[in-house]
Amino acid sequence: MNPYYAHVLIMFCFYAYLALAWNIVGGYAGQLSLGHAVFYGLGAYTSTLLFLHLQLSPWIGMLAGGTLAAVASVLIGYPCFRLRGPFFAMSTLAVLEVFRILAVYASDVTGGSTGLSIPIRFGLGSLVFRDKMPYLGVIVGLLAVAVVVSVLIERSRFGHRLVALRENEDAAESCGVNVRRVKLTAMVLSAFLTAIAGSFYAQYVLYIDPSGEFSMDLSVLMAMMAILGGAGTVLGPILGAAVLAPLQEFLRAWLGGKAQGLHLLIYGILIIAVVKFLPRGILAWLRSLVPWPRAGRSAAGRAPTGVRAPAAPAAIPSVPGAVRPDVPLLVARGLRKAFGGLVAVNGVDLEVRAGEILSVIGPNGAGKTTLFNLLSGVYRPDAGSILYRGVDVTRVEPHYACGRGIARTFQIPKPFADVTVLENVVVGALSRTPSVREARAASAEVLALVGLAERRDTLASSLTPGDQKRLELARALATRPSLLMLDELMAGLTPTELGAAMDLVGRIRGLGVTVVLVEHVMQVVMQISDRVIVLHLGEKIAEGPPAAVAADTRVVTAYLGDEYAVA
Amino acid sequence: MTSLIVQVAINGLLLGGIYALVAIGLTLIFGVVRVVNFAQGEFLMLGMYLAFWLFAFWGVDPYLAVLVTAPAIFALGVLVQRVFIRPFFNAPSNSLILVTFGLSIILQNSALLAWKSDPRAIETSYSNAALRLGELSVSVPRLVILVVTLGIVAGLYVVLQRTYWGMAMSAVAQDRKAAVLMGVNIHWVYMLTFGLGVGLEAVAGTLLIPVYSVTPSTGATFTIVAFVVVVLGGMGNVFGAFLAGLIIGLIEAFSGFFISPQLQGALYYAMFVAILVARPQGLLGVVGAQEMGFR
Amino acid sequence: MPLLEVAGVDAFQGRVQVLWQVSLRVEPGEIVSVVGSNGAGKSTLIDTVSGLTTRTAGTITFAGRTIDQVPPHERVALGLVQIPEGRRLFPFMSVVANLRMGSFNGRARARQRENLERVFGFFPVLRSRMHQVAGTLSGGEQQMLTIGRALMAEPTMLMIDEPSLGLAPLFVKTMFEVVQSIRAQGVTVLLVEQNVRKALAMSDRAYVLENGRIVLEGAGPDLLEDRHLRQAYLGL
Repeated sequence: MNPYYAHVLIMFCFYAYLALAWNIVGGYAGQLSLGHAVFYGLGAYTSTLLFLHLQLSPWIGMLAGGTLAAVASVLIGYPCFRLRGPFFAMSTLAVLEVFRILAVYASDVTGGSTGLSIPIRFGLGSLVFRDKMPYLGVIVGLLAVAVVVSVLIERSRFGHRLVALRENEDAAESCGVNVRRVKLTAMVLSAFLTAIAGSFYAQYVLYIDPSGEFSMDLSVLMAMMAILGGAGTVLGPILGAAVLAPLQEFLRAWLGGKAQGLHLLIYGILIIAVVKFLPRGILAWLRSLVPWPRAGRSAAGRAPTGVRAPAAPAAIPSVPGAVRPDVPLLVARGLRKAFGGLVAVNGVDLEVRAGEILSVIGPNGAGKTTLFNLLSGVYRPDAGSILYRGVDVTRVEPHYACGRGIARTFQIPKPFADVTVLENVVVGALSRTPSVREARAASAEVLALVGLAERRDTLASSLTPGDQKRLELARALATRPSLLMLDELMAGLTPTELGAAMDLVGRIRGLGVTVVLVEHVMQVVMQISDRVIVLHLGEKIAEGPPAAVAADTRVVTAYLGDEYAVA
Repeated sequence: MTSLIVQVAINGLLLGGIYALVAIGLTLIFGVVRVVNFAQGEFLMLGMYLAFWLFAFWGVDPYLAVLVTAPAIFALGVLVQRVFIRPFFNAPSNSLILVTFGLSIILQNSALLAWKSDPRAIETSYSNAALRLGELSVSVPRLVILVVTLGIVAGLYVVLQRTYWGMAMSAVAQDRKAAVLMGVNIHWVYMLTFGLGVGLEAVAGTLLIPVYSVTPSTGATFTIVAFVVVVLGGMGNVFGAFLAGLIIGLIEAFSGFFISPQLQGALYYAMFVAILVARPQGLLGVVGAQEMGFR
Repeated sequence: MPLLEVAGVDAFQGRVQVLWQVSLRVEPGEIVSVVGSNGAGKSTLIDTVSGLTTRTAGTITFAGRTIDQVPPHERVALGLVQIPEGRRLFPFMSVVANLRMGSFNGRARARQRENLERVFGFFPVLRSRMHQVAGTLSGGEQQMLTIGRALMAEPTMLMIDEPSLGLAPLFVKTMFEVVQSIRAQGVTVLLVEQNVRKALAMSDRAYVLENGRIVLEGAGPDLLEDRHLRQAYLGL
């Protein structure tokens, strides 16, 4: 093969590999890392230095570089993942520059800005070849590995969790996803793979230097290829590389040193053009042209057909453990939470009895949502304690609460928008089983229970608000909770939807799940609750069966204004 | 020995004045428009080139040229806001990052293509002027920058508190919905603010060209410092940016004793990440913490 | 002719539809209340009239003119002023600066000084705290400031979103008295409230909004006795 074409092919595979590696963090997890070449550089320098000083084969050096990069990625990711949006992106750039500068500075070790040359010693063991073809073989192999890894990720529990946290971190946490740990894992994987590419390229051109290795241009290029082709897919980054790699090589060959900066200028224009016209990438655009069945997860792993009739709910076992109606499931004492000068919850005691339907009501600003967030782990109380089945859960994180059996929905639904209804619920089910197949089967059952079975392949973002609430309910149920907390589920529902919702809550209780509702819609509260707790200005002012609470003058006053006797 | 320390401190403060001026525009844009402008430094660079050409071709002294460069870059900023930023307000959050980042790349490389990478510098009659106070020496052009920066901080204070549009900007920064309900046209406020924010970069650049050379990548080196100053001083806080700028200038001047100049860049980047993670609201910041999405 | 007429409006918050076919009218000089539980869409209704939401159907007419195409910041200049929920002062501006922002729109700016005097006359405590930073005022003072700020805009119609929210009962009483004096000065008032009793007691007419739909309409005091209303609030 003509060596020039072989070179272009090698570069295509190389860039496709890099784009796929970036895609793990930038695409699936949705974290816009603009400084990813830091791992590339670490890989290149590690394998090269090991070869130069210890005569270690680059094959091993590659793995060593990958490992070092993986460790570095944890140290980098831990602080940086606490940042969001532009600040995360900026900090990745900053980290890249730190390493580049250090590489220049530590010239005794790294050769400084003059760089290091790799001695030409042909052979498989030293990963240096006369011909291009063996290099092509290696990079094709690496690309295959990257593809396999990506496909495996997409099909695994890990991959589903990545996508969940990309779509909505809070919702993911409530489904038992340890967001911080999952992000770091993605970073580790991505860093490892990226570093290997650094080692490969070093062996290909036999020269490394700080600006070539810790290169912002390369970082941007990696991101661009994935975004242009379609981030968060397997084909997307490859498509992006197919477009940009030849362009890159062509520009370099044609312009050489003549129009320095032209290729970067084109990238800049391309970035803006992509964001404006093809925000979801070429792949999505192509798919919209051809009536393709929606490829990917939902088609590939369909649960066996034979949808159960909605009226006959399959048993959704709660977390095992004897649940007795007279035993308090959750006991909260003296809960207090203030925001600045405003005390939202002031010394509230609360008991939830197993098997009951408990409603928490109160006028606007009474502290209901704050209380809710305290019980589900979103806020830490300033004072007080929460015991769940005897275990102290006062200061736990939401994903831990989910693991213990506490599930919740959100006042404004937080669906994983870009993902199907079934896949949304699957994330919930994955908190109880590592097997995606089992999770799918369980999710199908839950969808049947809530009446969304026919919508299983619809994108969550296209659902009506009422259906989005049902989806959220299904997702919470899929985590097999023993306590389900519903935040204003009934708000905004039409009268018909209200009836269906109340019926559903009743059936859920019938399955052994204890339900706590925070509500405003009074008909619902009065009709389905076993007990009602009333909050006003952060304090509990009444508690008891619905009729008694409604007749309580303090409650009437709080809602309707002073002295309004109920005839 | 003491005079050495004082000299270093003076140099630090003068440097800090520069950094403060460069950072004020960035913090203003963030406070009002809520956009992190990755391309902020490029407007500084453009201002420097513009001032360079005005001097090189027509002999216009930079201190006069400001009257041309500032409005020109202001107009460019208004255009950029309207064409590149506004369309993406309701797009997913990553979009604006990529757009301003892309803009930065476009501006840098357009400059590279047009003007090549050779450093351009000018020498005016006062480029090397210095006030002598005993053993101490104070660079005049740099002192001018410090004084102008102080003036700008004071001026902005007056503008934001007392003028019609200034109050509008301040209102939008504090409560966007309420501002609209008062009758403020927020899109004009955004354009005005963006223009002003990058116009200030042009002022900085024009005042800098007598003592600094410019290359297409000069903007990028200042961007990172601007970011460090802004997060240290508190996002959206103009006075905070001024204080933080002086502090950073002092840090750089003194750390020059202990760290090689090569490593100073690394120091800034590390500081940036450290401040963001440890104290996101900076020294005086108010808007900062929630915007960074801290939990 | 009604000062404000909302006809068949569907409105969205983001992608979620919140109002379905809502129609109401406010005659000049009236105090009209819209009551309903939280989540019923009361704030969305006011935001829609102010032009801040996505409206897909229906028309809004103010002072005889369709304002559907008028951008929100221009509606203020027409005399249609909203006092948003939660007060939303400019926390770092002084009391007087907040008031000045109130007369930002061109129409009222000319008479800023006189209006300032008028507002201080209405709320003497604001004059004594003229240069204090708004964020440090007490809840009741902040509420007075928001009303004062709205008055600076010379409204023909004032829309107030949940004025009693978060206020101690004593201030609630004062607040409603202030609303009545504002009406006495010729300003038409549209009130959105959770505190049903007070709102209905002083309204000429009222609407009940439930799950985004108007379900009840009538004279204020009559509605107060209405069983359906009590059912809507207490589920009995």
